[in-house]
Amino acid sequence: MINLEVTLGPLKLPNPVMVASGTFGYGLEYSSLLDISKLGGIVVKGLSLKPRPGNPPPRIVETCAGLINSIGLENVGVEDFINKKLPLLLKRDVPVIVNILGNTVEEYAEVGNILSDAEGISALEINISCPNVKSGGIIFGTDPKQAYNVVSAVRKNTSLPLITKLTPNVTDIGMMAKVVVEAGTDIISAINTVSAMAVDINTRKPKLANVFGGLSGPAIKPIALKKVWDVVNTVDVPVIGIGGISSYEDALEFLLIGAQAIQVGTANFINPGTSIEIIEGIRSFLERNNIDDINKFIGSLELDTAK
Amino acid sequence: MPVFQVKAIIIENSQMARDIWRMKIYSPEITKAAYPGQFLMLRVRDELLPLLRRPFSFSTINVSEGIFSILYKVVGHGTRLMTKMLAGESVGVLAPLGRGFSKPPDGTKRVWLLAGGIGIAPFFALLEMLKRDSSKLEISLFYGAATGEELVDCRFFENNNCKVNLCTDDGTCGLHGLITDSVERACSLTILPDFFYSCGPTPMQSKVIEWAKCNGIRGQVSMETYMACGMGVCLGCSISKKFFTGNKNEETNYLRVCREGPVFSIGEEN
Repeated sequence: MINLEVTLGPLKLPNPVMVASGTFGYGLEYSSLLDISKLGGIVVKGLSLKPRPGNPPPRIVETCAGLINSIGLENVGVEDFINKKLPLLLKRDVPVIVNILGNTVEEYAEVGNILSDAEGISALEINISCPNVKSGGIIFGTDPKQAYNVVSAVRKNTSLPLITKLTPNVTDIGMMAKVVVEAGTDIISAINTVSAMAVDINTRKPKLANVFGGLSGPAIKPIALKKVWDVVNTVDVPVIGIGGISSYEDALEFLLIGAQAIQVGTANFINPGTSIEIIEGIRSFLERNNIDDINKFIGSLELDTAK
Repeated sequence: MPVFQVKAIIIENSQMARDIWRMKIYSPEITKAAYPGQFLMLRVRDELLPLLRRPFSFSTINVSEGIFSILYKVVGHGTRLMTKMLAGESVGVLAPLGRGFSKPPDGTKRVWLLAGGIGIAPFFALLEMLKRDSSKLEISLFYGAATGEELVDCRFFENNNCKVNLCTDDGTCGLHGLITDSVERACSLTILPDFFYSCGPTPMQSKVIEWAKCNGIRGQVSMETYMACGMGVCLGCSISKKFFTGNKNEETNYLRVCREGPVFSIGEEN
């Protein structure tokens, strides 16, 4: 029997493979195609206090092994989620993590507060890293003072395990990690999308209505790996690795460098069953290598020279 | 509504016109579940390039043989690779997806099908459905392309008593002009239809919707957009409701083409 259970501070997960916010809807959209109760956790689409319409189209463009999006945080709002989506999702016996966002520190805190009162949520993930909206999102993720304010405000309002999702679009992600740990986050997830753009030489127009967006998919995996490495080596809180993970090998790379769990994002769009295949792949890998516990593999990267 | 994620066998992959190809695929479960106007997401190959699946509407749906087909235009890397695929090879298909065409309202006598370029694709299956449900319908097809070489064979429509009106942007075949020019001309010569179905590039759809509103004709338009997931998750394919209603207050009321569409009603609440 191989143990896949991981413990990220106050958050215990049946296995280290979750699905990332914005790539799995509100949890049930793909449930006809896969058994979502096998997942380590579902991070639902980022929620704001009131519904948000999102950005004008076109909102997505495919690039080399990647996808640039500027959805603009379209969501149904926290109340609608709690009343209509959450009850059905909770029947599936899978950890539900809610991604939260806001235009102001107060809005983040309010959303956190409302969700804390809703039964059955396993953790909150604070989104201070969306590159696609002017107010909120990225501003809070690139300014250390703002990041501190958001995280500590949400921290005051909830006893739920708190994850803070960091952007790679900073010079020193380790410094941002330190700040959010000081502000009280239990866990860090990284990375959100990489700021990017695409243009059309024939029409001479940007390919996204928002001009720029966030790049995800296999193209960003090496960037993500380095950013996660920086975070792992700067702070002591558990880290969730995100960025271009499409196979069990990709997932194991993040675990090898010290992430204690991972999230699968863009790959869900191509094959909704990716995460389940990754869980099975990790299990077989451990079996083949006579490792009986995933925790013995996590952080076992061997370096020839001292760091 | 069931959605299937399968590996299906290609039965045929052949060129129909310049840059226009048809792929026949064997999948009894998808063929049985699909109806005209719905679409599928095709995984061109199990590699990183191209990364995303590609959306295509069902062109024909043959339940007794368990075979459906898509008609596709070669526009980029993904569709170029598709032309190299051979009968006997397998391809990943996620389908059927979205809301397809519905029948015209009771009492409808005349129906027009408006097809711009590759927008002809879903009308093969639609015509079969319309003929099956009501053999008395008087159906006309208005079909245009950039040039004559890009028009696919329309004998199927003619053989089903559907009057075919061709047009091309460069005048090499049929009327010299756009689909909407062809439609305007027909309007001045014959009786207006009771209902229409339209499929083609977005600028054409915009003009068609305007024409339909001016003339008080109800119908359905099938939209084409970039998509990532095809299942309502990524919110990448959204289109403003204002596009269909013209109502400025609905500018930021976004509808997912993959979920609320790809077929949208014109002249009634969506």
